[in-house]
Amino acid sequence: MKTASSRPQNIDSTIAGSPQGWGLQLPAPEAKPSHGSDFEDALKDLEESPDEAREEGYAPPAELATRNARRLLHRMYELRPCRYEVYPTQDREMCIYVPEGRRSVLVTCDPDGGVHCSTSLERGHSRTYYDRDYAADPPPSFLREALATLDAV
Amino acid sequence: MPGCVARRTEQLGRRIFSKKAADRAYRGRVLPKVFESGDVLISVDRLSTASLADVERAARRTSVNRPPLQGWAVVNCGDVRDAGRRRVRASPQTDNPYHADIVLLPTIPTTTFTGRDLRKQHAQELAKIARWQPSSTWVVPSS
Repeated sequence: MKTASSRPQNIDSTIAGSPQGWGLQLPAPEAKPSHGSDFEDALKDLEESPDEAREEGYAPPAELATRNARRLLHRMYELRPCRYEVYPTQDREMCIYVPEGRRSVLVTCDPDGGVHCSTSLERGHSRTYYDRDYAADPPPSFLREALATLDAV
Repeated sequence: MPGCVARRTEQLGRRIFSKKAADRAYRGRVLPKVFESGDVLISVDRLSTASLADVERAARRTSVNRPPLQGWAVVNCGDVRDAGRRRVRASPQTDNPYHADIVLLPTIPTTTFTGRDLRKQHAQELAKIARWQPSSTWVVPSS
């Protein structure tokens, strides 16, 4: 049973991280192998994240963070095929970052299994958090709404 | 002299030591982590106050225990101060007269939005307006 505290917490919102679409299921990411080279590059970054962490003098990223990042990367690419930057942080997180002009989306997978989605616009910032109960399989609307802001007119 | 950096067009550079982060910046993708700091001060070099060679020499002098300097993620002072949520303070050091700090102005954290979250938000905002400035020894990636 998922508790209310597991629900996304929309903080300082300029974009609603609405729970619409909860329960929808995207096809299993692994079932779609036809991703392009941008995806392969991002996946390579993910595989090389322990080396990148070492280069930066960080502890290696947490296994759970890496696993969640891999899953979310598949989903994000399906929703918006483009080059995603995947990288570790000094806090053992894994990040997926995509800038578009003066807008950007940053998904941070934390070592405890939570996922933060931070959307930065020309004016304003929105942030949504999913705790570990949802992070492994967040509702599609969570990513779709964030990525849609990059292309909004 | 310490004090606010007034000129809006002044170029402020955040050092990049990671080759991978530099390659991304070269592709126009400055990562938010470049601007992350454990503090409300983000250390930068004032790139437009001297020749780039002089600033680079000072940067290398003051980062001897780091990997080789690859370059800088550069932001305009005016953009940094955007919306009055940050200011820029000249903070010259003995070995680096071009040093400055981006100061994150206090915002009240909430129970769900901590000071660390706010620092990350600032880092994301700064990354998206930053451009790449290579050091003299940086090599263009082969692919």
